[in-house]
Amino acid sequence: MESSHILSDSELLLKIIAGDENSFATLYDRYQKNIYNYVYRYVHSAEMADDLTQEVFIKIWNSRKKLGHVKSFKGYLLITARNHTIDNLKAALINENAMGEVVRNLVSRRVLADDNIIEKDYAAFLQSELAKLPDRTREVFRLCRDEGLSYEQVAQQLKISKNAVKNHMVFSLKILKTAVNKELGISLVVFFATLLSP
Amino acid sequence: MDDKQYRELLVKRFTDRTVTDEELEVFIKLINEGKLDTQLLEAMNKDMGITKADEVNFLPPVKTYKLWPRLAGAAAIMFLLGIGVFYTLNRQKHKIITEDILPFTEMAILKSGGRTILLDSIKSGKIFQTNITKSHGEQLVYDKFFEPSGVMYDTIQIPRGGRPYTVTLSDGSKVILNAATTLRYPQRFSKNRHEQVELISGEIYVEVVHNAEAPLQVKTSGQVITDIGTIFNIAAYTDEHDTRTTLVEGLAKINAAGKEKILSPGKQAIFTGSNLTVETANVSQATAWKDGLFRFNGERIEVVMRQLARWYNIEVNYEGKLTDEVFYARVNRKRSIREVLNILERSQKVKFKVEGRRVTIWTRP
Repeated sequence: MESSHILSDSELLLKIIAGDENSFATLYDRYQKNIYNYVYRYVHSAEMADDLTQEVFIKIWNSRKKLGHVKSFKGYLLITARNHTIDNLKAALINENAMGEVVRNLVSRRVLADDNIIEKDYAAFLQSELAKLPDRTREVFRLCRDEGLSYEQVAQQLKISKNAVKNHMVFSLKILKTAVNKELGISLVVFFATLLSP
Repeated sequence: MDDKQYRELLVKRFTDRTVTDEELEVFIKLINEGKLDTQLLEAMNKDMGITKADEVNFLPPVKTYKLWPRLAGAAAIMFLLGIGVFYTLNRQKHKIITEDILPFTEMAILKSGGRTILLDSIKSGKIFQTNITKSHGEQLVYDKFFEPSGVMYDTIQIPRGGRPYTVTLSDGSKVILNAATTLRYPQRFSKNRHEQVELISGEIYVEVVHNAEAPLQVKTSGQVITDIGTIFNIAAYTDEHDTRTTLVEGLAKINAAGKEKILSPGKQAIFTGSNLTVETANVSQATAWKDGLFRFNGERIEVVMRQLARWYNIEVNYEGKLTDEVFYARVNRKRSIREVLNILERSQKVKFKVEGRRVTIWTRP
């Protein structure tokens, strides 16, 4: 690609709609870190955040032909990421095993707060909700918090299974190929093996 | 503060990682009850700087169309079409060639030992950490001497619009895979070759290295084909009404629907899911694909279009009533879709429009 000037999102978007992978790779590089950071704040698991970020870009790549009406690529990307994160966070927390991935990661990096300043009414609100929680659910929560289920096991239970993620990743890897070769000077297969190894 | 604000606070403490165990339990309870949807949405909007204006980018998804409408009654007015000649003669007459689609736009995938390999993107040579060698012209060869620690299966997937591959299995048997085909097979056969090759969907042409002691078995949904020294073709597409096994050489045994049939060369077994019958086959037509040809021999338009749909990865949309004409043609599969459609249009019975990956077809009165 000519480096004489940096293409804007809209210019790149037009090329993406026409199926240009390099333009997609450029936008991927431009926003991937950003998106990852947002997603990570909500799922607390680095692996899950990685997967979800990949999937967001794959979703966009796969629907590239329908992006003609998109005025702002960034806006479209952020909303796709937001919706995908919320959907998957909800899916994860409904599932006993997947819950563990989120809960354990969060708990292990918990920031100690000054619990004394918790407002009395807020505490009462929490207590009333807790009272409605069946013992079984609280038990499950503790198991999730304490037991070291691997992400692999977790992913099996998740709607976005790790295999599905791998399958999907194929598309993103096609796109990443250029970037990887350029920046790391390694072949795609090696990169693949690294990326997909548990 | 009211509940709503507590819920906001809960979400904030969740993202800040300041939640206590009890708060986390409540968070999980409420999210499962769908009571944090608004709060999560608002928190993320704020974090990510999403505004109302950004939501405009999100319009409802484009409507999808049904692929295959009902069949019309059969009639048989025939059109004999030549190969490329018509096309060349006719080319200039087509004023507007709107859009076109080439074959081989999609990538073949190999799943091996937990890895997913994009076959079209890797160089010739031994594939990293496998017993497979890729060579020029979409060829994969499995190493005969490889000793895996157990029975491991690989899956190769040629998508719609993908390039056919030839896979030489560890026993030396050769399998050619058409577009829109998924095949699962052992990385290495054991001596008695009892591991099955499974055609999950699609079409394969198989040349078996025969061993009377250890026949090769190929399974499709509801059907098992056992080689008795064989070259055969199996078409088991999920969008077709039946599975057809055509015998080119040797003998093969078919078990399906509680029946067993022996196929001899030139015969074709048709399995409908509930019944198995044997007919005389048009072998060169059944295997034309592996020689790079479309061969239509009195096929109805929807049969023709299903083949094109798999090869070019298109969606087909029928406007109005389906034509009762049947089509005869021999066309090189390397041609673009517009070239193939032009040949079909020579019949004066149908007309096509290509928009993106959708092909619309009209019957001419």
